[in-house]
Amino acid sequence: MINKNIHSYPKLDISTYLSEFINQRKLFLKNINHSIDYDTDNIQYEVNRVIYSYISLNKLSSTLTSRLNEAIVGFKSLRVKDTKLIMYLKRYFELHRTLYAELESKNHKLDATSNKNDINILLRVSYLLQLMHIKTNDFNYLSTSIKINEFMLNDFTSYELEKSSLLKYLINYEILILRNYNENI
Amino acid sequence: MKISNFGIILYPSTRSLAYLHMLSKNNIMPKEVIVMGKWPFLPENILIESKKYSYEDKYFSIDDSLEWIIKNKNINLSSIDDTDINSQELHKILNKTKCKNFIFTGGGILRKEVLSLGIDFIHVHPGDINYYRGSTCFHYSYLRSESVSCTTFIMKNELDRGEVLDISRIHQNIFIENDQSFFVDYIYDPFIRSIALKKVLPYLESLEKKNNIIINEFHGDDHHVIHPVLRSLFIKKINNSYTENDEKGIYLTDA
Repeated sequence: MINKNIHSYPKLDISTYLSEFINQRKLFLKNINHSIDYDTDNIQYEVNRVIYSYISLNKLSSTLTSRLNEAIVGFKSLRVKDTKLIMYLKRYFELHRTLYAELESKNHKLDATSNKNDINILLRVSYLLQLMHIKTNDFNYLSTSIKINEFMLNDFTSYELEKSSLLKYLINYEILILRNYNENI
Repeated sequence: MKISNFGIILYPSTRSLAYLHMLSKNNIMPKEVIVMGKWPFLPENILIESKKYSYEDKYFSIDDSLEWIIKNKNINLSSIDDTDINSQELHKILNKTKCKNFIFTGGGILRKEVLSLGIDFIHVHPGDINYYRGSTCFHYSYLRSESVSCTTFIMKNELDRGEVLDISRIHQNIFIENDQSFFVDYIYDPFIRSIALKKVLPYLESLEKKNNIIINEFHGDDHHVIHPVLRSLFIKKINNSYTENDEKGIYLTDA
């Protein structure tokens, strides 16, 4: 019997890993011609603007997209049921590396027959997790958000990524959060 | 060395080595030792790192030969190839044992069949179970509040339930060098659990429980395996809090 390999982490160069990670993210933004001069307030403003515009153009979007849109624009007074939804989606992604586009109407669980890994859902969940991290200082949210961002950057085509009007803000936000920790922790 | 009436299941990991070291340092040995998987198990590069940074002197012996246990005729020793805590092979041995307490050194969730054997499995979790669940939760607690805790509890027949024996707070003043790639997973994590386990040795010997810390249901949030970039941030934070003139090492704050 061969023992299971328990090396769960890549070998890290502690002194440079974080800055290299940030540089890779910056390179992505540079390649899609996004300036990283935005501060956190600008990003929140721009994301809300994109969401409001999405709401006005997509009256018939999925129940889940609508719930997530509402949670983003109303984040300052987030309802308990929306917090529970974010926690549920966070856990689901961690366990399955997948999210679905619709909720079942009966039990409000993800409907596995609906569209799998819709970029609009992934983006919104990741952004809400970033906001939750900022609000609570709990790195649990940030960790999953980084994993979702990584998943999108690795699994979607550059065409799909460039088409998204939210992704650049999300990656920009992630850089700001991590850069702040890298400099001040 | 005193042989006490409890057992230990040794998963091939440095956690097992840390626990054995702590027990031997306190002159206590379990009556029953069940060895799982293939031993010795440590890759050469951990041994090189250990030698370079004197892990044996500072933390615990990483001798994974088990020779000193094999030579002790007072210890009931058995071994199985399987490393699955729910395996039939292990189940058969546990079914025959007279020890009612076993220290658990592996991972995973114990199935009902194992938990219903009437044995208390004692597990040390690297976090305050009231707030943090998940194997890497000490990273999260340190990043959030510069605190690391360990909870020692008896695993129960239901998920997320157990009887807490102790919650310990850990303090460290250490600097992790760039090439200490194995330190956090293979030394720090098992070492903090071992010093927390030490606090419940009186219980293991006498089975007398403290009467004020029974918590039967845990509400801590699931903290899934932390992303490597936050792990590097954890190390950076540990290093930034290091002070040359203070006592160096890892220890219990209330020891």
